[in-house]
Amino acid sequence: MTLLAERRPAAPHEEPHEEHRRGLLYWLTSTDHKVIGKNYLVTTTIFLLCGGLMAMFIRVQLFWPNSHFTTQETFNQLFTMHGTVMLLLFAGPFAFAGFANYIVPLQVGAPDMAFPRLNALSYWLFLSGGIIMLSSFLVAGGAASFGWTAYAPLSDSLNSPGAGADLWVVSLFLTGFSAIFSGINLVATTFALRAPGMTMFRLPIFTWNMLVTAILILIAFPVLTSALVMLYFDRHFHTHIFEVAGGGAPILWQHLFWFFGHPEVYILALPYFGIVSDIIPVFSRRPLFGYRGMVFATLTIAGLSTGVWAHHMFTTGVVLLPFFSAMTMLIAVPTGIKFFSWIGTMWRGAIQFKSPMVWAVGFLVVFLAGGLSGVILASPPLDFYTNNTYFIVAHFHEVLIGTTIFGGFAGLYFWYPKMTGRMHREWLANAHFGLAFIGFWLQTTPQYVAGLHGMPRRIAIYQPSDGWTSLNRLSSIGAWCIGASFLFFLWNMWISWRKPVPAGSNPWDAGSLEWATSSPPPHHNFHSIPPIRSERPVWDANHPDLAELEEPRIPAEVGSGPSGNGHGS
Amino acid sequence: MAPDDGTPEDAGPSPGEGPLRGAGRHHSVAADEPTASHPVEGLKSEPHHRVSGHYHSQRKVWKGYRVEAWVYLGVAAFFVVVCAAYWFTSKERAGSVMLILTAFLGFLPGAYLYWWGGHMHPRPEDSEAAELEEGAGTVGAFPSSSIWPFVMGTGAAFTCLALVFGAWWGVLGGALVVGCLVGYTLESRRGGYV
Repeated sequence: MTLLAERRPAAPHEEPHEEHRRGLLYWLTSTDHKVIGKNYLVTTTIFLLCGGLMAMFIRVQLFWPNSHFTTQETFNQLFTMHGTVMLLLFAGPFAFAGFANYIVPLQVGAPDMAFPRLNALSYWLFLSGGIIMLSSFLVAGGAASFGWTAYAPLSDSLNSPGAGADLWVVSLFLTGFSAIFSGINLVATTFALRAPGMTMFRLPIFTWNMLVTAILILIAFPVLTSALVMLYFDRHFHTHIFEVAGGGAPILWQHLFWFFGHPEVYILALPYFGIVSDIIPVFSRRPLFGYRGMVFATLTIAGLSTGVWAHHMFTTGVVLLPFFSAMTMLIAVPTGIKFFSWIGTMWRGAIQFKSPMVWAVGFLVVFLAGGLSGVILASPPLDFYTNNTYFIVAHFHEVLIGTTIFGGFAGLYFWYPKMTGRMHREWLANAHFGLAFIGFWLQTTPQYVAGLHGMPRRIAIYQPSDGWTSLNRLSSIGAWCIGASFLFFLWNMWISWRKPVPAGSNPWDAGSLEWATSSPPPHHNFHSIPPIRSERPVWDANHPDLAELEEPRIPAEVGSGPSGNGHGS
Repeated sequence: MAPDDGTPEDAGPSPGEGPLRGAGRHHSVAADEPTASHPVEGLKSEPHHRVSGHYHSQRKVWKGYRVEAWVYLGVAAFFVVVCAAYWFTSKERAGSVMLILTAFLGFLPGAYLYWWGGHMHPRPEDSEAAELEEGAGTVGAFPSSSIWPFVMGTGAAFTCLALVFGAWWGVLGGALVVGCLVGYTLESRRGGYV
């Protein structure tokens, strides 16, 4: 809609003041994608700290056997809200709303997102949904306590009475719409607002991944939203959709939830794959190895991820095991292609271990470990053995922390100079990484062992005779290390705010289009942009000699075909 | 779909004068800004210089929205196959319905983009050889601020709270939503920002 001339031209006196507007009114009214992107990043980081605090409490409770730090009910609320907040208020929006909002229009050479006001609405829905969700701790009966999966019949009005569960439902309703609107905006921006010469196959991989994520959002979130409506109807109007007593089917909730839930895992993962795919070439001083393979792998992962939902339901006994097992294992193939490309990019590169690269390499290691245990769990007999144990908990924390924390903070340290115009302190970013990395392994490895020894998930109390005490203590210490590592992050932000070191427009000598503009970018992003003749227009412009060497695509005198791989020359 | 076979044409860039193209492209906004020397070192020469002249020959020009359409059509094709495989092996209804609806979700925008792309001139962003000035003109209206998304978001949140705490929240939320709709509509007519 904004592509049409829908309003009179603004009066000349209004425009020059835009960049100087600050304060509460500016914050409430801005539709600039950069402001909204930063709003998302700050808000989601606050939600990360809230969810992290809940994790710290959970680990305090599990540090001692027979602990009474919390009650079982409070513990249930803590892990329910920890899961929901981390997945739906931090991990997803941090990337597909925060980074995507800020970076995608810059990478495609657009002045803003396609629908700026829809973008702002999306943020306000997200913020209000998040506040409503966290405020559910304050109502009588406390927050929702049925786990972030809200399985029927546990989530019905008989087993989960009270306003906390309803607040959980409506807050996900709001954040779900927010995600759908962000998805629409991302697709429209990528399809319709690219700069001349920025063909689809010149988009940075980050933008490709955000596009595919946006399509996954459009596939997955409407299913969740409709399932939530059904759940609400069951709770208040006794429609019996998920109740056996009234002729409904509780298993339907699991189908609907996981048809959203598994793509959601990739909605969380793909943006971070994109971030890492942008970072590794920059700090390896090489072009990305296998660009089209990366695009193909992203699309394939997204497609397959929507066909594997019932691998979360193996133990229900009513799903087709071979189909879902095979589809799940197939995902390892495109993911392997991605790893191959990342390693191929680094291979024989002049690697610079700046903080974004350190985090990105950490991502590779952590995500690979989590992915491998995922292949184990894709096998139904092994899943039967480990289902509902801490083995599962360790697996998905490895996958999710690997992507969202290691990939996410790689991106944050990569684009922080672009967003703020200031450099962060490298040693603090590396210290943040080091403590988080050590803490991470200390946390998850004992959880794998505890799971294999039979420790069920979601228990608040265990006995000394169970033999899990030392494993849990190690895991708790690891979790607290991860928590403590964020003090370095906050310190880093504080220092760069109080003692700014100017970053310049392109501190990493990177190649994609966001580095062609100032840091932070001006209103409507670009005063001018370089010609776009490859996936790395800024690199080409800054290193014209290397651009010619690296891209001998179309020797004019040979003309080796329109795709121009240069094989004929 | 036969005439538009999806293969890239081996033709030079078509300037954006087509009747179905959007009204011009990028950097009109930049043109409204005070002109300044480019902030990036190394780009201080004229902003539209070519990296090297011999790139310009025989660059690919995709038909409008062709790759974009195939992304969606690929979604549709993939889920038709998966749905068929799933239905004939499991006969499970919930998953099959969701899969076939996902195929439709890919087919509708994909077919529309494919059809529309066949009726439009190539856009400069679909051409590998496009010069930036081909995108000159108005990109669109990008409001820099508006209070109404905030009002709408607050109204929607209050309306949702009515589902939990009672209908009186709905009165408040409904008033905000209706107020937003009126204000948003008038905002476009007034040309103001708040």
